[in-house]
Amino acid sequence: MSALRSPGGTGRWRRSRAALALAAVTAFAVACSSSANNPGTAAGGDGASMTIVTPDTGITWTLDDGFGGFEPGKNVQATLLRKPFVDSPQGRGVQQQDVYNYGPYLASSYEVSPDGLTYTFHLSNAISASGNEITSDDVLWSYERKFGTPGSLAAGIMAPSLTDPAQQIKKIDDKTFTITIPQAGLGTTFLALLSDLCGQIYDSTELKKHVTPDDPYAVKWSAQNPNYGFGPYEVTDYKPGQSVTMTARDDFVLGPPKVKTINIRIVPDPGTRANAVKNGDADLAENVTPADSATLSQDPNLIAPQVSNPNTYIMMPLVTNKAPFDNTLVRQAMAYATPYQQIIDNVYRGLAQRKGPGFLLDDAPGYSNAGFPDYTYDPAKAKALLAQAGFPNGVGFTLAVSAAEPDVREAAIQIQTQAKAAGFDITIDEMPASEFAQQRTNHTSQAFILRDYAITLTPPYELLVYTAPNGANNFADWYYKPFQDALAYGNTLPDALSDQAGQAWNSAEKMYLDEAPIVFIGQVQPNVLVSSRITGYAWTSDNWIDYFNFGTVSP
Amino acid sequence: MALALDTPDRDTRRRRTRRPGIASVTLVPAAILVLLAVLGPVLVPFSPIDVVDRPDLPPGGAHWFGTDSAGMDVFSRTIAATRNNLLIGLITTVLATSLGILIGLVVGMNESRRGPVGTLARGVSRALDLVQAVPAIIIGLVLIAFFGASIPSLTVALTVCLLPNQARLVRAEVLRVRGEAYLDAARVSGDSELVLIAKHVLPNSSWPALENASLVFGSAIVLTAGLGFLGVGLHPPTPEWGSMIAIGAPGAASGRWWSALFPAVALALTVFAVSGVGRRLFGDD
Repeated sequence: MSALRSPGGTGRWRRSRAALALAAVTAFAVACSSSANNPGTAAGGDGASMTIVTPDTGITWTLDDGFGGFEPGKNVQATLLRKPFVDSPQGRGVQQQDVYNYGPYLASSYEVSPDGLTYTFHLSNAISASGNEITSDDVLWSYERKFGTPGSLAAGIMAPSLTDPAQQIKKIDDKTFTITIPQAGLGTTFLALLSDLCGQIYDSTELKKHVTPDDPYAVKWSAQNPNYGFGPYEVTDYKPGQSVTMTARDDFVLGPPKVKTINIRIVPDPGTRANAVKNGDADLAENVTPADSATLSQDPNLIAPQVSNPNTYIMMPLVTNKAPFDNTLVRQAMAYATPYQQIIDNVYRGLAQRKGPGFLLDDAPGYSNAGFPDYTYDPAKAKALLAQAGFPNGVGFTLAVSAAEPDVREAAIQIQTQAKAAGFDITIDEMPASEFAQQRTNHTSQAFILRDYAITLTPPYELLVYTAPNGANNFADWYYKPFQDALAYGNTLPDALSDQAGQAWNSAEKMYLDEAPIVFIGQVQPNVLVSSRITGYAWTSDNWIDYFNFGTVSP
Repeated sequence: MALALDTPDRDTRRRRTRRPGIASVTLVPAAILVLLAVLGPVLVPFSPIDVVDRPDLPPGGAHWFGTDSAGMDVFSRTIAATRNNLLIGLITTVLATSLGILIGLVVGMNESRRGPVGTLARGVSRALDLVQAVPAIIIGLVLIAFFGASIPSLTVALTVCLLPNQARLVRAEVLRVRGEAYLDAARVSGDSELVLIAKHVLPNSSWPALENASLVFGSAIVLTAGLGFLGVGLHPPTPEWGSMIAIGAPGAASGRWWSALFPAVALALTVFAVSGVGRRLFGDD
């Protein structure tokens, strides 16, 4: 019989040896993968270029193309207004946005009518990457495109300040136009929106050359040809999924950028990205894990930026349209069963903070976060609330988490372990990012845990961003009429940053927190790692980096 | 070439492993693994699914293999994962190999026939090529998305991914065996086709698939790791070597090597042990 068999002995032994060799190589590679620091090698070398390593964020050039990685697009575009940068308390060249001031950019100035409804803007002499000077027609056409393109996010974001550009935006002359808003109290949020991604103005002269009957706003053309903005850089090379090269524009309206070339390299693994900066192969790494940031920030050649009030929150929406979180007491119990400080210490290694149970940034003028429920980890109190809700023996639920966010998965594990003492039996359902986004929007799971932020940082916008009735971001599917009434009342006040408005926002947020549709766990610091050779890293409310602010790169 | 590899040294080695004592030794690692799978969850010092200490503690007295990025004990998880991984690997191996042998036999014996049976056999053969042309991870992703992440659905998905290779190995062997003279002799002596297949073709053509079973076992675990990395593996924090390696690997790049290394070593030793069992059961010794 054996004579009929294939000569398998050779293959078998070879396979065994191959398995052993593979194991040895794997073990060796894992053990030795921490390579030595090499602080002397500048990535740019010539002092005028820098390299950024980033995961594949699915680069999207404008909000009109849907949601994606907006950072390169942000740097080829410019907005009507701009939130200025100030130094972060951390020092070491780290800066942060002053999110309540709106300075000139493409608009060199603006004035407001006495009733607070009409804003008159005067345009600068900005030149686009295509060589055309900005006019009021560009502004009108840009907003026509933002609101007229199916799939564009701008219309949803700008409501209720701007809902009908054709009626609300009027051209006075080539360099002057007005925008009329429905309520004076929306003015602060409106100015903030014009300083964020929604305020980007496109070169309509260039785009109109590429319109077709099927594509009346040249969206298809511009998705492949990003150089139609008034921003500081133009794209000189783009390989989707691999790299982008951006070159400074010397005719930029605020002056020539100091860093002449930005090389963006897509590197999927977070550890490799962090090591690239550590080893001097890159100047800035994005989406670095908190563990890497905490470890590598001990290196004097590296900076893990920290700002006074980061707007990224780790949060846990509890979906209110299904059991058990259709019961307010269960939601409150979960708020007491969450180990906040343990997550900040164990997962974020101190690179997060908790200034209270709420979502509004506590430094907004006129606003105070006093008088809110004191949600701290208190399993006994959580257990009592669960019993009061009719679950004396505890309750189970599924917590959805995206596989793309390892820090959030770790936070979910902390919660799962600690919430057992309160009677919660949590099943963590990890899923691909796309499925998570779909479930989040459709409120399919019982609860979610995620990192997210409001780009526009005014109290009324922050209160509405996760609570808009039927909104895609209303992750908890929560509607509470007294809250909506309180929000509407605040919007009737003339100045959203006044003391009177601050009290209104406080009242509304108290209802938000008492009802606990979302457990806000903490504010997370920017997840970037910067070489100390780089100056001018600045946190922005959209969390996309402004390359124009980078200073000279030391050779 | 095969003759050239059949060197006197190798014969000597074969003779050595043929000795009963040595041969039995090859089964010891596998026996230990089975023991760990059965008793491991009871023996571990810490809960393998709970945060037990600060994260990323290096190996030491309190935590022999350190703690992972969430603060779970790596030693407890590595031991506790044995059951899940052996279960996934063994069931996948048994299913993929037995189904692969069956399909390979049917296709190999019939694909040169005329008529609908031959057409069907050739169709199945091409279908196997097609399935093998699609990356296994994609097939796994689709199937897990459809059936959900659990040990049974993972096993089914991995079986679908790994079965074609086993079937093709057997089919190739059947094509060779079916031309042998002793089959004609058996037919002349009155054996039916079914008896002929069961008595002569099956024993003489299924060895490559059986010998390949240890590779299927290793691939099943590695694929489980890949699926875990993409977020469709077993729910965290279920202990499973693949997910532990995937989660620990980014930390290894920054010097926190222990949470990936120990499950990687466990995986390698398991594949080695299963390979030993394969050699003992299906090899020449």
